[in-house]
Amino acid sequence: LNDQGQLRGGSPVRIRFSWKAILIAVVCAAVVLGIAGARRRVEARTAAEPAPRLTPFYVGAKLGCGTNGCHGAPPSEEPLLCRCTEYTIWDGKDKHVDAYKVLSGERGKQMGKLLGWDVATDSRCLSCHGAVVADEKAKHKTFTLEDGVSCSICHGPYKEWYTHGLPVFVDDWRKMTPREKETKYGMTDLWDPAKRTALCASCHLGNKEQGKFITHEMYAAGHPPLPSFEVAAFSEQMPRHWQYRREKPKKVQEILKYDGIDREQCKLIFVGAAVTLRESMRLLVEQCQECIKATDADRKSLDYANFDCYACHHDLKSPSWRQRRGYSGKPGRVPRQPWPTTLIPFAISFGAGNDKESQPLTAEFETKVKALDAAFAAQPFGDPAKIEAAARELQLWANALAERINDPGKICDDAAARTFLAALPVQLGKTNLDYDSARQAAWAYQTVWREHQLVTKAKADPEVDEVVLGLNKQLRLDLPAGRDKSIVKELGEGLKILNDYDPDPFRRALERLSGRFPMK
Amino acid sequence: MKRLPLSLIAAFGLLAFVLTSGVLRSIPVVVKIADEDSLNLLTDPARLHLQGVGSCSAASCHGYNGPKGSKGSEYTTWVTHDPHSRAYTVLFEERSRLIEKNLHQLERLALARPEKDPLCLSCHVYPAPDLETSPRHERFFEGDGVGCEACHGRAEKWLSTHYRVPKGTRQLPGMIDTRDLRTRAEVCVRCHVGEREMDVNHDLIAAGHPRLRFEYGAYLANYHFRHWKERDDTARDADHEARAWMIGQLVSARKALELLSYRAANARKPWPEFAEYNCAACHHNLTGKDENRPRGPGRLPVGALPWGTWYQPMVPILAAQLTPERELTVLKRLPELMSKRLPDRSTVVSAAQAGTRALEECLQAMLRTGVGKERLEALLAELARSRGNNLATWESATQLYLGIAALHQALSDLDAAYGTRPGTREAVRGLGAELQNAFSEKRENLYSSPSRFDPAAIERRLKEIEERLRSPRP
Repeated sequence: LNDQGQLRGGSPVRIRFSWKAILIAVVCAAVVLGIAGARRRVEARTAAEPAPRLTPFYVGAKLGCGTNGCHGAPPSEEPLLCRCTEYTIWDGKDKHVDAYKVLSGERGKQMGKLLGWDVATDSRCLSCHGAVVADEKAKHKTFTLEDGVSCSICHGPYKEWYTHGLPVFVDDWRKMTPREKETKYGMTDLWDPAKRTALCASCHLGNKEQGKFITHEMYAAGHPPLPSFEVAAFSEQMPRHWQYRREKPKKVQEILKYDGIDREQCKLIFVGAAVTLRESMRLLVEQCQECIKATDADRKSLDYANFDCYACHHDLKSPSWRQRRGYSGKPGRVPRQPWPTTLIPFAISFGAGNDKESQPLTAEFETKVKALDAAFAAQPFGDPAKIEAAARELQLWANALAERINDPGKICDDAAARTFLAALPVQLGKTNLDYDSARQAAWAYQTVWREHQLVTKAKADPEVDEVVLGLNKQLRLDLPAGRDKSIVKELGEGLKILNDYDPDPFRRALERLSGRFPMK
Repeated sequence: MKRLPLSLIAAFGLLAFVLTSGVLRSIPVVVKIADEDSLNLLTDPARLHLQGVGSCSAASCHGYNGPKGSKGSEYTTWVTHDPHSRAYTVLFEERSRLIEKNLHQLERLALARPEKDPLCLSCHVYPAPDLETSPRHERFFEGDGVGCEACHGRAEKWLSTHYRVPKGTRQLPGMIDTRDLRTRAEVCVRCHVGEREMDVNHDLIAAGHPRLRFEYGAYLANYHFRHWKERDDTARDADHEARAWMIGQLVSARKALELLSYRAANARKPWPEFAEYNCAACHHNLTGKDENRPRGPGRLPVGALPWGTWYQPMVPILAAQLTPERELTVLKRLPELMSKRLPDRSTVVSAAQAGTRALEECLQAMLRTGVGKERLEALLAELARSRGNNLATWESATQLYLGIAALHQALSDLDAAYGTRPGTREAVRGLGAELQNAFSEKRENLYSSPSRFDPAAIERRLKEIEERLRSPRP
């Protein structure tokens, strides 16, 4: 699947050999594979770069984007296109600024020593902590790795949109659709929930194709564990240098045809859930393929980082809630990361709109997840061939779901938000969620609830507020997002909360929430 | 008569060989002891009838109402004090049912019947995976738990004669001579380490069964419900503590390798088998106290799983003292082989089998020549000097402590002056306390993680012991 979530050269690869005519088959296969391979190569390029004619171009954050009058400070006349403070907010508050610098910090050095890598230059680190730019010509003189995850990396490293027709830039530019800006000029359409999720997830989850994957070896050497990823909560908690549509000035809302109905964050949750599942399955598929091909005993089985970290990494205690809960497969087998599927039932409901349509989708989803779980439980550390097959199925399925709900015509309105707020506590209240999955649920509930209050200016509901506050404390929903917060320093406390987690208080919290919606 | 072609005969011969060897292999061989003539056998149970605890418990036999552990009151002691007698009834507890439910993924707790599961019965009643079909007298009652015959052997052939034979007779058909420390160890390890299908593997542990962590010397020393006299053991061997420790180490390590080999050789057994590794290597919280995180032994890559940290760490030290000419190179390969994400089954089988043979030789050498006081002292000094890998995990550090404690006790038993050097006993106890302190909660159960394990503190204690041992005797 490419970034647009479309199949890329996928189907031609499925070739079945006829062993009765080996020779013919081999020849045919070689030809077909050759064609398919060539096609994949071409399409891979088109996926990595929005259009082949675009020129890769990385600029420095401050001198490239952050000057006054651009994104450093507003010009004298009223800016309409943006607030022109984006760089200042990012540079002052956003932790992405420090992504490269942390590599030379204490923990970075420790990791380098244990792994035997030069972490400041190794592409396995730079792919997320900066950028791997092979072509020196693609770097503008202002570009520096010291900027960390800077403007070019998220907004699209292409010359065309950066230098497009200044100074008449503003007028033209505003008239274009995000889609046009992306395909013609290479500016990533981060307004598209699916694209934003895929972009963030490429680092916050991993993307093998882009060389972004934290292996167990890297974690063991000291990389902080990645928290489970929920795009709407992660976006909300960032020191945002953008505004939601509901926050924009009236004039801009008019240009954007904002009608006040669309629940932007709620939709981001649904689309984000589907895309995150798709991306996590893609990671599994790619790695399983490597395992299947491998001959070395160390590579024939999935890297430990593909499993649920906390299935193993918890202190042993008795009585244990895991044993009380039971297991989805054989006990003692290492399961998949459980959280990417938590919010999918709600994305299905949103996509289907009614029970009749959602039931078959839910049944499909459950069957596919069951197959995946069985593949993981087939043997300790799973059976890569079975996991590959099951994950591929789920990847395709999640992609179809993402496409269905990401349709701009699919409006996420007040009713959709209310349905979600009503359904989540009831549906998940019956289960024993692990910490990461519980966090997905709580993040989503919190975001939709807050958005609902802001949009409808509804009267406060102290009961819900109290429960949400409690969940925040129990699950530590606040991420160490700003520059003023240190991931490493807060790690100990966060992981202690995780280690002490018990699903009972979470379930009790959900019980208190059920029945609060739908509200009139 | 028309002669059969040679190739056909050969084919028949081969087929017959394959079939019979298959059949032979399918008969449950209980314990293989290399030098069978020199030891009392743990007899093949399949041929003899089990008699049941009731055949021993008469007041005039072993059921007298005397003090705990006194002669004639063996049954009484066992039934009153020994947890083995409740090994079966424990299967009716809710915890056991939960284990059974999880293991077999049953819908409801009510469907779980651990008391019928051969896997459970093979250790909780009698060490045989096929207990159901095993010949038995009607007196035999599963409710008795791990009864007399589980350790002393099937009594069919000796029940009516064993009290009439001259004192000191060791060979009776089917009777296991548990007075012999090595034979006794072989009995214990069948369940407490595991054997073939009598396997507490990670599936079972995850379902809720306690992990097995057997240490013969320590188990014997702490067996306060013994139905024999401790002084009989010490009278037989003045260095009983040291002997029990050495035998236990070698027999347990060998048994663990046999189990590893069985686990690796059987495609239907889970692989890699997580119970082979240090629990705390994975099961530790990630709160970021990196300095306390258990590390794997040696030069394993970061994040690789450390193997054999409970049964194997003392073996090289012991072998260097017992058979200095023999390098246990084969055992050095296993940690690396087993640290792979998917260890190669057949390579592991051959390495484990070679290790089994090497350990048996080592044990034979020890039993042949015995170990004098000087060598025990040297061994103790060696343990106290041990650092590196043996401090890497709570498991190996604990083995180190148990060895030091056993040898120190044995040397003190042999020479009273040895143990009375000021501060020595306290230093050894201090090491033990340090290992207890590794558990964050009160150690109310066997399952918590030693999450506060601190190798630096262990090293300080070892240095203290070293110093004390060097001090002159009074």
